[in-house]
Amino acid sequence: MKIVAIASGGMIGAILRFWIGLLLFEPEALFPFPTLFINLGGTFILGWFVVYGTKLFNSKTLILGIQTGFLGSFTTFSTFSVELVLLLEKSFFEIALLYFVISALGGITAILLGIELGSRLAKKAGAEQ
Amino acid sequence: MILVSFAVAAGGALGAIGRYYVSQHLNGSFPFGTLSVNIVGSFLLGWYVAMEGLQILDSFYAIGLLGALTTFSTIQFEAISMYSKNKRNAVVYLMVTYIIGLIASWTGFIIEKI
Repeated sequence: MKIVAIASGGMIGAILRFWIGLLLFEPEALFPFPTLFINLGGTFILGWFVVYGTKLFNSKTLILGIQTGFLGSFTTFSTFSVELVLLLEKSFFEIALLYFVISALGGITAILLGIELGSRLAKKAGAEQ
Repeated sequence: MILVSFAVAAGGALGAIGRYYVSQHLNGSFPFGTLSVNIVGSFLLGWYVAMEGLQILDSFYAIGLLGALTTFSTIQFEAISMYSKNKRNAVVYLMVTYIIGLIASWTGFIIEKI
């Protein structure tokens, strides 16, 4: 069952990444905004999920499917590093540096914000009980 | 569009399973498993984008399989989880992932170009 959950989550994550990427894609743009949006958004949701989302589901298999399958596949590292290589190869050094710094600092910020949101929601839910 | 989405889905399923298995075996107090899939995936994607004329496989391989094999969100969560126990390791993990990931993509790209 674990494998089915991870595979299903992985499918949905990859398809959503593909569709959102298509929606946000602009042929003229040099800055890889779609990947940045997907990676930071997915990281924020992961932070929320590990603290609060996991409390909403009783099934460990389902949690694995969402966390490792869906959120793991939705965000991507290979596209990020290849986009950096392509920017550097075309000598867009400033854009590459900007993309790297925003992704790296944004990633840590996004996970912390997600965890913070999850903790607040968990406290609120605890207080209401 | 439907066919392409199916290809992305198939790749995504395989990529996620691959990442899970490698992580299960190699992740310990230091996430060597996540590091490995990210580096290998970056290398393969760098190599792949340098090739030309393989568009039918793009959606399966590049967006689905390698996109899902590698992950960004998990890296951030692992780094934050490590930080409370070992600050140095958390910083080393992030730096190694970014630097070797970039070198791996670059190497893949160059290998195909020469």
